[in-house]
Amino acid sequence: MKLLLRFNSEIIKKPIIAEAVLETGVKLEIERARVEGPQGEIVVNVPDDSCREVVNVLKRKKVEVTRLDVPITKDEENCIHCGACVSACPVGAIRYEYDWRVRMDEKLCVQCGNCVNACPVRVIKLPEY
Amino acid sequence: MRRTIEEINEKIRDGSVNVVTAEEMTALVQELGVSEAARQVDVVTTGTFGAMCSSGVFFNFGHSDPPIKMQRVWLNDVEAYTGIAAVDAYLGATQLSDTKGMDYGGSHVIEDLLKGEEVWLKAIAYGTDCYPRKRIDTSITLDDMNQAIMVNPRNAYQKYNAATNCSSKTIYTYMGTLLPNNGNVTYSGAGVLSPLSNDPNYETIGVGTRIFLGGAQGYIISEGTQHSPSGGFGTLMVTGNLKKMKREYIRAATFYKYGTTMYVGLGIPIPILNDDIARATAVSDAEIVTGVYDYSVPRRSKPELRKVTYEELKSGMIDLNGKEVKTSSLSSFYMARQVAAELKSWIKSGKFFLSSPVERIPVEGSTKPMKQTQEMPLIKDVMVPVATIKVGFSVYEAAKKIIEDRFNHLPVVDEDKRLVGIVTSWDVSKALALSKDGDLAPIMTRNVITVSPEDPVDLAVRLLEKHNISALPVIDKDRKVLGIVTGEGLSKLISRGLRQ
Ligand code: SF4
Ligand code: SF4
Repeated sequence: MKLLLRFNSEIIKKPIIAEAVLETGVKLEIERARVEGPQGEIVVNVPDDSCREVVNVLKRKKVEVTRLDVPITKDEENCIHCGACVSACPVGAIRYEYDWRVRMDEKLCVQCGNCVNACPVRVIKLPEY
Repeated sequence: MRRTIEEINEKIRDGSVNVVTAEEMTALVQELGVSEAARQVDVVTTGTFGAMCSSGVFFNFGHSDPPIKMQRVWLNDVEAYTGIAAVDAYLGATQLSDTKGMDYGGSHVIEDLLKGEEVWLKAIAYGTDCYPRKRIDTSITLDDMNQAIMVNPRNAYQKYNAATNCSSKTIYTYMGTLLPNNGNVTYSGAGVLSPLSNDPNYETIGVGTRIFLGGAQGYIISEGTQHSPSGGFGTLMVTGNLKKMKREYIRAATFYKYGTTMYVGLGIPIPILNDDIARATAVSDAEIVTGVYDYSVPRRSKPELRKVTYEELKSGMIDLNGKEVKTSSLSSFYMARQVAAELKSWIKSGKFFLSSPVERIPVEGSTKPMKQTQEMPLIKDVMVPVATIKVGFSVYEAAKKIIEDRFNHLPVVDEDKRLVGIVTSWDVSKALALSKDGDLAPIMTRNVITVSPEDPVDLAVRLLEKHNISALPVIDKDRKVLGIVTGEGLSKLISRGLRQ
């Protein structure tokens, strides 16, 4: 299963991935990594049957874990259709409809997470583990 | 054509009133012309639904037994202002929770109350002969309060600045997430539906005007704070009964890394008393102009990149220096339409009558900047000279330079003295310890955070903290290094300032 791991400035310098591998004995395959300023993101591939164990260890080490196999969700009932998410999306997955409602096309989403923070009423959720 | 408010109210009573929204009016005037549209239409409804920070609610909680004269009071850990009578308090939308920070604020308490939820009330006091109680803990709902009166000092901005970010880092502002290198443009305001843009001369909108506020009837108290009608940035102070409002039109919000605010649905009916008023309500998005500003400059005056109309902003794309940039709104045009439509249906069904203002709102004037008795020092006042090294030199030479100049930071420059990177004494000693003497380039940091000599010192402090770094090179427009400011130098300066 693919997981997106986010490291904040507090933990980014710690060898968390290595520790997680040592503690669980599970092989983590790193697909991509990106460090921007004091924050970092890593996408890892984890064998399905040991996923829970790995996630528990990572969460204990304060890593934010997101599943990448489940699409992002927008709570239509509570969305106020402002559009704060629209121009924050790098791939144009969120758009205004003809009547100014805001619609998200999950199929186009690459789960960058921009819209999650951009939404002022917090109705977009990346699937948390 | 002339008609009076009394005549319109008579028509509302007998059900013959003709109401259109400001969007419909624009189309109608284009089709029929001003006089014919004015003859047919009695009332134009406007609406807006945007983040309005300057909002809040006055509560009266009722007296406890024994009674308490609240000195400080919290609702769900969000402090309300109680420097007024014993159990009165004002809760502002942007006040943050003591425990949850930016995730929960005054606006969230207000929304929870509207949802019918219980909120936890905690108050402390010094105790008096008449109010002996020193502490109270209870939970309370909107129904339990005697009054919950919304009073919003600044709502319904006529229009607002559009925002972009010319820097190379994402910034999080009250204008939302602004992507680096002009990655997007955000704007706010309902354009064609904006109440004040439809009556820019304040002919019918004045003190005492009955309005739609949060799904209930409300009133205009006066001009709003920071009312700046001369530049087309008028605002209104409004009030309404929270107990009658609907959660649909009052929504709590958090702007990421900025704080909490409240989305308020506000609509104003404009009686068509004559042709001039009809002409004003025919305003279109193409006629409402605002500016696009660079929000990466955290100063009172931000550089304006261009003028833009709401029509262009709403098209989803605008041109910025030859680049097509995506635009999106922070206020909800969808909800603004709901507000204007609901107000229209209230008037048509005889539930809402128009009122004449009892006083006019200033049509001219603009906001003054704050009087500052102590000028904020600028970077150029506090920066110190720094040695630089040319790219291409070796780690060993950098080490020598750092020792000679006793500086922990060494900016790296190109042939033309322009900044290309920075090395710290730590980078250099690490490289030497690992016997990695050789070209400097691989060990230098290329993405250097910098300041300009005209920036305020506060900005340097914020950047040092935000990026967790200890020094900032000072560069001019051509990226030439002029000096450096260090965290150490700034703290000395600040502590000296405190001692004085
Ligand atoms: S997560 Fe990123 S890609 Fe997906 S919809 Fe949100 S902004 Fe667009
Ligand atoms: S930012 Fe949130 S509330 Fe606004 S349109 Fe997007 S999902 Fe809806």
